[in-house]
Amino acid sequence: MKLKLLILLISFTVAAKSDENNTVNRTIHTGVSIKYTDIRSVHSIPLFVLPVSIGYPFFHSTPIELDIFSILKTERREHLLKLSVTIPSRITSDSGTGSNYILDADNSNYLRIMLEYNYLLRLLNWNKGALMYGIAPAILYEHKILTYISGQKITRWDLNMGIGPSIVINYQVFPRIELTGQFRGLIFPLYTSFGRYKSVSEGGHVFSSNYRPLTYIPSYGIIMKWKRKDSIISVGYSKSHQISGAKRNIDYYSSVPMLVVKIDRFHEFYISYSIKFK
Amino acid sequence: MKLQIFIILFGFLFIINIWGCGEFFININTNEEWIIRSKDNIVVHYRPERYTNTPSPTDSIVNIILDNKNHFYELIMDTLDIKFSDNILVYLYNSGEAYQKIDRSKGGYAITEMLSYYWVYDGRPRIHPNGRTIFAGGAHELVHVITGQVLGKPGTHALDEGYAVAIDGRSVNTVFEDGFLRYRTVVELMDEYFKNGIVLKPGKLLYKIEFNEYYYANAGFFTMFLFESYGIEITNQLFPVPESKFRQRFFELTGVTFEEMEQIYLDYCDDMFGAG
Repeated sequence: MKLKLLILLISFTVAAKSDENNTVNRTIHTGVSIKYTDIRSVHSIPLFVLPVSIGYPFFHSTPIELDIFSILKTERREHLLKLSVTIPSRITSDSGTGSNYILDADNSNYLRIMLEYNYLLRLLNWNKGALMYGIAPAILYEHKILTYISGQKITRWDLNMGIGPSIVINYQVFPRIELTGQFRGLIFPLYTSFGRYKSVSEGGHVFSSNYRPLTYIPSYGIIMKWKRKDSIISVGYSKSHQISGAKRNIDYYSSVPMLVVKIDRFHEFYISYSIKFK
Repeated sequence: MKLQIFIILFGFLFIINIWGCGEFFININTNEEWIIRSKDNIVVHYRPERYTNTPSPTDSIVNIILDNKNHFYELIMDTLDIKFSDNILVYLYNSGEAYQKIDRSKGGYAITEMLSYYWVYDGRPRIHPNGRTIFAGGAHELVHVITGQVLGKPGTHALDEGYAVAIDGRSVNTVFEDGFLRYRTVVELMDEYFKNGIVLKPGKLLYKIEFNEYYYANAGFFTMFLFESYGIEITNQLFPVPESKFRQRFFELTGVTFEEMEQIYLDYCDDMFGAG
């Protein structure tokens, strides 16, 4: 494992060094995007059969997300720094026919803040296309309040730091239109993640505990970019899953039952506008 | 050649984008057909007739399930002396589809945060120790939902399953007697285990997880003992305590050391099962 990490580190260092002094084709884009997200959260299940087909009930939320990003591009490398913040949105539930029997939707909400960095290196290059690979470290903060119809409430938040591989494919469909496909698989280990869970029952009984989540977020996306003289307008769609399990402490193999399980699916539709700086 | 590689890679990304790697673990399917009926705090979801090759519940059976579940709901409130008024959703998967959908070929499991539980419906009536004919389990899964919401997340499997078994009072498996499938009582099972010398000591129970009748009966009987010896209020406070802090917390709440309690428990078992 250590050897693999060393090889990975050396390959990045070599590739980065070769491009170090290339400032001729360097461009910086800074922009904003607005994103509509459809989130469906299902429940914990024992994963003995894969895939398990489940559906109901699910918690549903449709937050609007605002992103600020900056991209530094050279001939061989690309650095992306992005801050995403959702506007806290209500959460409702669907039991199977659209009915909400569980949650007080107006007092349940979801907030997500993510800071991510994506470092990409060019692997293949030809006339109209390019394949890039890289790593994507990220910091993710999630805050969820579930208020049930009776008034009982669960609040949980967690701060996760992780990293994962990313692959990007670009294809120049027309001179000003570029199509991009991307994959990113973020892993947030137990050791760099921390959360807090609190529930207050209808009768006022309070339970609270820390937790250490282990999270995997695979994400796929397609983006169409319209390159203008000094700006780029992009529209995109991405789909992510969040699969996470948390116990009270770092000892994941202890016999203490799971405290928090997240199985979420995100559909994201977005439009972004960025300005080019030389 | 390069273009072909590119097209293949792009196509691959496009396809996995549609199917998604997450689907390797979970296929979130929200296009399923359910019939919903409710009564008081119970909402039952079941399949329409001929949905699978195996039977779906009839209206009269759903009525029985609703009545039983509301009875058990009240029983849990009374036993635990707690306040809870949310709805609980019951999902009955036909036995022909259950293994693929919920990873179970019998029984069920609870989803605490979603106030729900899944159950494999096979159309066969079973007799509960309280005399009721049941089609979708007794109080067991309801206890998981309610305790997880009201008392906090369980700290040990022993009390998580213990509460469910103690309040329901029945075994996990059935026996065929007089033409009926009957659940046995926890006391009957423990009587057998005691006579075979295989009663689990509380210290072992806390550090163990087993998903079988032996473990469940031991956990249930131990919880019954805690209810009886130290009262519901103290036992409720022990429910969310993890194993690493259980001994200390037990002493703080009762003034009895864990080791002393273990001996008292074994004497209690001896008194109950040894004499006869």
